[in-house]
Amino acid sequence: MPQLVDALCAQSGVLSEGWNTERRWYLETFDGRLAAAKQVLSVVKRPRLGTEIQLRTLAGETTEQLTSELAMPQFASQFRPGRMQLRLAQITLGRALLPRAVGQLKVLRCQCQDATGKLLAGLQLEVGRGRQPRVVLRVCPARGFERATQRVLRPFLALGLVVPLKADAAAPLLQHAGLARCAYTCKPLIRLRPQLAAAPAVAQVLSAYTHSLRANEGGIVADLDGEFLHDYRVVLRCLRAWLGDLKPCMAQPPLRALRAGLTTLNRLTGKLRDLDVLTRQLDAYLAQGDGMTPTIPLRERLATCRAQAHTELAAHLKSPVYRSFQRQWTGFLAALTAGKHPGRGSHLPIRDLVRRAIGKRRARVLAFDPALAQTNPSALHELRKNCKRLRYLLEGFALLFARGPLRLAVEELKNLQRTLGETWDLHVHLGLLTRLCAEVPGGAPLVVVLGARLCSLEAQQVVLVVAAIGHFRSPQAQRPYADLLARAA
Amino acid sequence: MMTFATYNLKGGVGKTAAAVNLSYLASLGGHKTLLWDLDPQGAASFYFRIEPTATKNSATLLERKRGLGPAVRGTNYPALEIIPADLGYRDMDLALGELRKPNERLGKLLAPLAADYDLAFIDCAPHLSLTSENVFDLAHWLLVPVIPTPLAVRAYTQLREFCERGKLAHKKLLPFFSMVDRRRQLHCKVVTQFAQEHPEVLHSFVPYTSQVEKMGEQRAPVQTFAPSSPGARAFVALWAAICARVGLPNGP
Ligand SMILES: Nc1ncnc2c1ncn2[C@@H]1O[C@H](COP(=O)(O)OP(=O)(O)O)[C@@H](O)[C@H]1O
Ligand SMILES: [Mg+2]
Repeated sequence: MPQLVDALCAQSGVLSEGWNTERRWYLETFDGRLAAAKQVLSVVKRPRLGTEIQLRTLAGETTEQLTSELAMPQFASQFRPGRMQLRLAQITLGRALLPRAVGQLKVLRCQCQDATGKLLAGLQLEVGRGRQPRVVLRVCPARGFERATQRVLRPFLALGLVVPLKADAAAPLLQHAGLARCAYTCKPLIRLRPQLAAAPAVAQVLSAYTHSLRANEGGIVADLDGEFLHDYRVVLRCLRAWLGDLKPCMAQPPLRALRAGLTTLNRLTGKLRDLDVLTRQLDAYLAQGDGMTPTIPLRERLATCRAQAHTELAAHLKSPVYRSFQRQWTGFLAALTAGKHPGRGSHLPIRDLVRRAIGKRRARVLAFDPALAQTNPSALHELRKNCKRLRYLLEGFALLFARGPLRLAVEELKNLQRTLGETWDLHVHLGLLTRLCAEVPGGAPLVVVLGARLCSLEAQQVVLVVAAIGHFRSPQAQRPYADLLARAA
Repeated sequence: MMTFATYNLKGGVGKTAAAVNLSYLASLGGHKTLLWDLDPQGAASFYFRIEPTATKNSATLLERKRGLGPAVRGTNYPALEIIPADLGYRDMDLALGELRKPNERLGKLLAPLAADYDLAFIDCAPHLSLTSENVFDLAHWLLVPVIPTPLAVRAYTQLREFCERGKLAHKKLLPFFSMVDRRRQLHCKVVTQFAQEHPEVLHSFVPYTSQVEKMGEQRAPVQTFAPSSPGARAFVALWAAICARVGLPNGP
C-alpha cells in the first residue's frame, strides 16, 4: 500500500488532495431494491462541504452525485428534483431508504491531469478498517478521456500494484460496502415439477411466501412507509386463500387455530390499510366539496384513528400471541413438507390440484349475476374476493403453466380487478367517512357533501364494473383460461 | 432538459464568457449540465482546456449515426460536460442547406442526450444563418449579451424583429447587459433606456472587469480562480436572475 501511494504521488500530473477519514453510510431499501437494480447509494458527510450523496452502479461508475444540506435522506421524494431523484424514485417505488451499513474509510483523493491541467481522471484510494483492510483504487475517468487515463495507469498495472476488478465487480464492491445482495419480491416465483405431490409442493410455496411476510414486519412496526403493509397484506391474503383453495392436500383439524390467527391479522392490517388509502384519497374527495366547510377536524380525526390502528397492529406484531402463531405456522409447514397430516388429495400432482382450484374459482367469477352489481355491494365484494383468489392461484403457481396463456389470463383478470377495487374503495371510504364525520364536531354538513360525491362516483364506477364483467366473460377473454384448463384432460 | 443558447449577431460581446461561467454555475447548483461549443473557433472548449476535434466536414457531423454521445468530454468539474468545437462546424450552413427540414437538424442531433442532462448551454458563433435558426428552434431560452451602446442596442432590436417576423418565439429572448462600464455616462444612459423599452431584460448585468479577461490565461471559469471578484459575483447574480425568470431551482 505505501508503495502504491508513493508511486501514485510520484506520477507527474497526479495531484494529491491529502488523506481524509470519511464516515460513509450506505443506504438501501428494506427489500434490497437498489442492489437488485445494481446501484449503490452512499452518503458522505464532509465538514463544511455538506452531505455528498453518490449513486453509482456496481461496476464503480458514478451515475450521479450531488451535494446537499439534507442530513440523511429517507425517501426519494426528499431529494432535490432532478435526474437522480427520478432514478431513485423509479427504483425505490416509495420505499424508505435505510442506512444499511456504515463504513469508516481512509480516503486519499487525487486528480490526474495532463500537461495543460486538463483533468483526465479522479483517483480515490480507499482503505477499509481492520487488520488486513481491503484497498480499492477507484478510478473515475472524465468522459472522453478513458484512453488517456489508461495510459497513466499502465505502469501501475505493469508493476502489479493494482489489479483490475473483473467486469462484474458487484460482489467485491458490495462486500466492501458491507452489503449483501438481497433478493426480495413480494410474490416469489417458485419452480415446481408439475408432477410433484401436492402437499410438499404447496409447503414450498407457502414457505417462500412466509419469508415475504417476515420481511415486511419490521417496516410495518417502524411505520416507515405504506408499502410494507401493502406487501404484507398481499402475502397474507395469498396464504389465506390457498389454505382454502388447496384444502384437499391438507388435513383440516390442525388448520383451525392457524386460520383464526390469519383472520386476526387480516382484520388488524385491513383496518390500517383502509385508513392509509383514505388518507391518500381524502384530498381528492375534499377537492370536490363546497370548499366552505372546515375540514381540519376531520383530517385530525382521521390521523388519530390511523395512529391508533397502527399502534394496535404494531402491538399485535410484537405480542407473544403473534410469536406463538408464528411457531405454530412454522410447525405446520414442516409437517406438511414431511407428509404428516395428509389430506385426501395430498398425493395428487400439484398441477392437477391447482388446475382444479383455478377451474372452481373461475366458475364462481363467471357465475356472478351482473344485475346484482347495481344493487348489492356485498355481492360485488364477493366477486372481488373470487377474482383475487383466482389471481393468487395463477400467480403463485405461475411456473406450472405455459407462459403465454397464463400472462393473458392474468391480464384479463387485472382489468376486471382494477374496476372492482376502485368501486370497493369508494364503498369502504363512504362508510369510514360517515363514521369519522359523526365523531367530529360540525361534521354533519361534510357527510352530506362527501356522501353525495362518493355515491355518484360509485354509481359511475359500477357502470365500468358491469362493462368489465361483460368483457371478462367474452370468448376472447376466456380463451386463455380454456387453454390453461384444457391441458388437464 | 432545458436548453439555453448564448447568441448575438455581433462577436466579442461576451457570449462565450457567459456560456462558460453560467454553465459552470449551473453545474455547481446541482444541475447536470452540458455545454455545446458550436463556434468553430472553439473559445469555450479552450476555456475548459479541451482541444477542438477535427471532423473532415459538417455532412459527416450531421449524419453521425451514434449521435453526439461519443463527442462528449468531461471537464475539470464534476457535473459539467462539454461537446467541444469541431473545425467541421465551419461549413455547417452549407451542409444543413442540403438536408430536408434543415431547421430541425441540430435539435434532432441533441435530443438523444436530453435524458442525460438537466441543462444544456449552446455557445453560438456570431452569424445569422441556418445554424443559428436551428439554435433558435431548439433552445428554450436565448441569452443575448448586449453591450450598452446604441449600435449594440440596435442589433438587439433587429434580432427581436427578425424573431417576430419569422414567428420564432421572441418570448425566448433573455437579453442582459455585458461589459458594462459604469464610469461611462453613455453606458448608464443606454442601460436605463433599454430597460424601459425592453422589459424582458434581465435585472442583472456583467461589468467590464479584468478578471473576466484573465479567463483566457487561467483557462477556467472566473468563479474558480477569483471567486470574490466583481466579475464572478456578477455571473452568480446573473445566474440567479435567470433561474428566477425561467423557474429553475438554484443551488442544492
Ligand atoms: N465582462 C467582461 N469584462 C472584460 N472582458 C470581457 C468580459 N466579457 C468578455 N470579455 C473579453 O472579451 C473578449 C470577447 O469575449 P467573448 O466572451 O469571447 O465574446 P463572444 O463569444 O461574444 O465573441 C474576450 O477576450 C473576453 O475575455
Ligand atoms: Mg465566442
